[in-house]
Amino acid sequence: MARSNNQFKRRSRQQRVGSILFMLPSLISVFIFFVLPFFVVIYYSFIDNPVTAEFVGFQNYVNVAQNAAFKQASSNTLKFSFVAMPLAVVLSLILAMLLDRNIPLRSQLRTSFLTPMMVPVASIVLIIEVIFHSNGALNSFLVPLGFQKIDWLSSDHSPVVIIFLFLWKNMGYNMILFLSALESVPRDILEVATMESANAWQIFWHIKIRYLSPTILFVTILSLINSFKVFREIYLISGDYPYPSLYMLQHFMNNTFKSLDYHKLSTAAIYMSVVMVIIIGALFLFENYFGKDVEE
Amino acid sequence: MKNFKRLLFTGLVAALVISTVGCGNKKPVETEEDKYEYIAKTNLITLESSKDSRVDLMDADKDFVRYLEYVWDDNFNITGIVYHEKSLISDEHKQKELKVPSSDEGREGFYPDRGVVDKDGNIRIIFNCYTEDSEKTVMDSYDKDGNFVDSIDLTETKASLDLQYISRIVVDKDGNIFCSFDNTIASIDANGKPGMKITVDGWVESLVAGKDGEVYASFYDYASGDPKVVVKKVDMASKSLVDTKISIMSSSSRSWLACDESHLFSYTELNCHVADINSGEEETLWSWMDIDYLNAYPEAIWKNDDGSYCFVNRNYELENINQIEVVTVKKELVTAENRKEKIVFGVRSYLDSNVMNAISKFNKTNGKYKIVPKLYYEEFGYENADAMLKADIAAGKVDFVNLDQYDSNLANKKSFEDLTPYFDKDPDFKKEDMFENILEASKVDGKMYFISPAFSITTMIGNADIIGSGETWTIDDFVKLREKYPDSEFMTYATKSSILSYLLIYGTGDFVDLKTNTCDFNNDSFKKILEMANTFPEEIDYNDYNDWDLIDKGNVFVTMIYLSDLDSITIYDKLFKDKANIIGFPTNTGCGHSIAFNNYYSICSKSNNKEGAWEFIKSLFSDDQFENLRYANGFPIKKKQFEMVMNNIINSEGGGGAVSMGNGSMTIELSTPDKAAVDRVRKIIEKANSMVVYDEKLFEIVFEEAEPYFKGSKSLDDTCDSIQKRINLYLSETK
Repeated sequence: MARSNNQFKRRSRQQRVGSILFMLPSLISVFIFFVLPFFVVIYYSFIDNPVTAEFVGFQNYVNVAQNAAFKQASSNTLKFSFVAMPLAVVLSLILAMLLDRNIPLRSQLRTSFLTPMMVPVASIVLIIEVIFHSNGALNSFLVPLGFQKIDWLSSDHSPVVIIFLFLWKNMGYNMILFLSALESVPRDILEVATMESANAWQIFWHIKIRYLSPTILFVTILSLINSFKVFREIYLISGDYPYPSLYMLQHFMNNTFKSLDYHKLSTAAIYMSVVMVIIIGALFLFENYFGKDVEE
Repeated sequence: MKNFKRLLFTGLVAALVISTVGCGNKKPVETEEDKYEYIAKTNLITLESSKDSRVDLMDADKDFVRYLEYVWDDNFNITGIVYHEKSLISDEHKQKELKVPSSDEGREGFYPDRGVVDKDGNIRIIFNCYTEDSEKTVMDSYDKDGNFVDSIDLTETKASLDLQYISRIVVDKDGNIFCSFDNTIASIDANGKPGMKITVDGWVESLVAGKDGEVYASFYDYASGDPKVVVKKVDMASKSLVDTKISIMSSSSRSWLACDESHLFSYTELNCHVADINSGEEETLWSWMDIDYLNAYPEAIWKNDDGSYCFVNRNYELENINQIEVVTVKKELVTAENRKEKIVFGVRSYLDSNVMNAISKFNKTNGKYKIVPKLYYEEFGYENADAMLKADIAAGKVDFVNLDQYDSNLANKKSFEDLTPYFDKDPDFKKEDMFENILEASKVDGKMYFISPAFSITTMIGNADIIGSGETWTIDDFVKLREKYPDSEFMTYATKSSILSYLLIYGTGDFVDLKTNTCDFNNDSFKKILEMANTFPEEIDYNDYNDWDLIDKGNVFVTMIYLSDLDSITIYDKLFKDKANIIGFPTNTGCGHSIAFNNYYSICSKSNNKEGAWEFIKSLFSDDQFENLRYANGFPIKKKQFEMVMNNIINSEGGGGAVSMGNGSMTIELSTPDKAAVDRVRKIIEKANSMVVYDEKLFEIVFEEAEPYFKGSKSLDDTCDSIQKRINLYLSETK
C-alpha cells in the first residue's frame, strides 16, 4: 500500500514537472512580452520623467488626474464607450433577430453587413470627409431643407460622425456572432414555450436572452475594445489634436509618448486599465448571475 | 521504453526553453578584427609654382603628382602655363613651360578648364570663353616635351553633340577624349572632330579614366525601379556602353575615381567604397567620420603594396592654397590605451560644413575625445528623425545634440544640462563675454540649456514715412496701416497664410504663455490678424515676383529682414531711399525683434561624457572661427568677436561689391558699412529679448482652422473658438 502511494506521489510529481516544463516557453514569453512591460509601466508611473528618473510617489497620479487634457480625454472616451457600445450590441442583436427569420435576400443582406469590415480604414475616412465636410454631401442636402450648416468634423457634433462610423464598421461582425448564438438556442425549449402560449417577447426575454448572455458578454467586451480603436479613424481625420469633443485617451497617450512624457502616459494607462478591469469584472458578474441557470 | 520517451521529451522541452531564453541580445564575440580601425595620416605637400601663382591639380599616383600653373596678367588673360610633375617619394620635380596663344591671337577672355595628360605624357587643356554674344571652346595640345602641337576649335563640335559645355574631360588609352553633360556621354577624336554620342536614362555622375586605359561612366539606372548606381565601360568600337558587373543599390550620389587596373573607388558624403570591375564585388572601406575627414573630396586615389590607401585631397581651408593633402588610410590596431573616448553628437537634420570642419579639427587635435556625429535625418528620414532623437536622449545614447530649433518643451523635461555651472567653472569661457541679453532670452525657466556661437535677428524694416519712425509698433498699428492702404501689396510675399505665419511665429508671446501653458486666441488682436490676413491674396506668382522692384516703386512699405550681417540693412536702406526704419514685428508684449541661434547646442543630462561635450562646444567659440570673416554665419555671440567682425567689415576696402536681383532687373552697389551702421545693428541686438519659437503643432492647428475661414466657409468667431479650444488642449497636455 505504502509502495503504491509512493509510486503515485512520484508519478504526480513527474507529471507536474513535465507540465511545467511544457508550459515554460509560453510562460516565459507571456512574462517577457506582457507581464514585464506592465511592471515597467508601473515603474514609469512613479518617476518624474524618463531622463532623470527620480521617484515621486503618487504625484504623477495626482497630476494626471488634475490634467485638463486627461480629463477631457477620459470623459470623451467614457461617453463614447457608453453610448456606442450599447448601441453596437443592441442594434446588432436586432439585426441578427431580423436576419434569423426567413426574409427575402437574407444571405445577400448578411454579406452586405459584413463588407464594411473589409474596407481599409483610410478609404473609409476619405468617404467620411467627403460626406461630413462643412461643404460636403450631407450639408448640401440639409441646407436647402432649411437646416444650418454644421461643421460635422470640427464641432460639438463630431462625436455623432464617429459613432456612425463605429457602428457601420462593427455591427456586421457582432451580428454574425449573435446569429450563430441564436442558432444554438435549443429548438425544443422554444417549441415548448410556444405550446405553453408564450408570446414572442416572453420567448425572447426569458429564453433567448438567457442563452445569448455569454455571447452578449463577449460582444460587449469586443465592442468596448473596438470603441478604443476608434482613435485610428479620428487620427486620420483630425491628426494629433482634434476638436476637443473627439479627443480620446489614446490621443493623450500617443501625444505624451511623442513628447517623452512616459510618466504621464504610464499613469494614464494604469488609470485606464483599472477602469477596464472594473467594467469587465462587472460584466462578468452580471453575466454570471444572469446566465447561471442556463449553464446549469 | 516509457522512461526513455519521458527523458526524450524532457530533453526536447529543455532545449526549447534554453533556446527561447538564449535568443536575442547576443553579445557580439570580439575578434581581433574588431579592434582594428581605419586611421588616417596626412602629409601636406606644397605644389610649388615658379611664378608664385595658383595651381590646378591634374592627377596623382603613388609616384607623382601632376599639376598646371597658370600665369595671369592684369586683364585676367593667361600669359603662361607651366606643367609640373613632382615626385611624392623623392625630391624630383620636372617642369615644362607651355606656349600659350596670346590674347592678340583671339584668345582674350579664355579660361582654362582642367587639363589632362595621357600615358605618353601628351597634354590637352580645354579653354572656354563666355561672352554676351558667344561661347567658344578650344583645345590646346602639347607633346610630352611641352611643345605646342595645335589648338583646335571645339565650338562646332560641342554644338553638334548638343553639349552645353565641355568640361572635366578624360582620355582613354587611344587618346580619345570623353566628356559628359546631363545624361549624355560624348567623345571627341584627337583632331577635335565629334566621335560618338550616347544618351542614358539617368544623370551621368562620373566619367572615369580607368588605370586599365578604358573609360567608365557611372549613372543611375532607373529601369529597374529601384535606385541603383551602375558603372559601364565605354566601347569605342561599338559606340556604346558595355556592362560591367558593378551595380549597386544606393540612394545617394557617388563620385568615382580609378583605384587600380581592376578596381574603381567611389565615395559619398558619408562612406568610401572600392568595387571590382570584373566581379562587381563591392567593399565598404571607411566612413569619413571614422577617419575625421568630413568635407573631403578626393581627387586621386591608389592602393599601396601594404594594403593601405592614399588619396589626394584639396583642402581649401589651408592657408596655402597651393598645398594638397596626401592622406594615407590604413587599418591599425587600436588598443585601450590609445583609443579615444567617443562622444556621440546627435544632429536632428543637417550638419553644416563649418561644424563638420570643426569636428574634424577637434578630433585631429584632441588626444582624449573623438566626436562621432549621428545624423538622424539621414538615418531615419525626416518623419522619424525627431522621435528617434528624443528616444535616444531619454535613453542616454547621445552625449550632446544640435537641435535646429528652440525646443523649450524638451528642455523642460530636464533632458539637458544647465550650462551656467559649466561657465562658472571654466576660467577661459565666460558668459559675461557674450551678449547677456541674448543668453537671457534663450533661458528656459531661468536655466541656460542652449548655446550657439552665432545668432541672427529676425525683424521688420519699412518705409519710415509710412510706418513711422518709432522703434516698435502694435498689432493695432499694423492693422490700421493695412486699412489705410487696402489695395497695395503692403508687404513682400504677402499672402493670407504668410501674413498669419509672420505675425504668429514672431509674436507667439502675444497669444500663448509658455510659462503657464495657456493661450488666448479669442481676443480682439487675433481676430483682427485673421481679418487682416484675409484681405491678402491666396497665393502669388513667384515666377514674375520682384520684391525689390515693388519696394522701389512704393507698392510695398514693409518687409521681413534676417539680420545676420550688415549688407542686408544697406540693401533695404537703398531700396527705401534712406528712409528705412527697423521697427520690428508688430507685437503687444515684446520688442518685435526675434533671436534665432544658428545652432542649438545642448549637453544631454544622461551623458557620461559631459566634459568632453563641453570641450567641443567651447572649441566652436574660438576666435579663429571668426577672425577672417566678412560674412559670418550670423553675428558672433561673443562681444569681442562681434567687434572683430564689425571692424573687419568697416575697415575692408572696396566696399561690398554690387548685388543684383536674380533676374538682373535691379543692381544695388553696396558701399562699405560705417560705424553708424554697426551701432544701429548693435542697438537692435541689445534690445532683442525673445527667441523665435516655431511650434509646429501649434501652427498646424492654427492654419488648419484658418483655412475654412479664408475660404469663406467658417465664421471668424467659430474659427477663433476652434483654434482656442484645440490649442488649449495641446497646451494642457504639457502641463
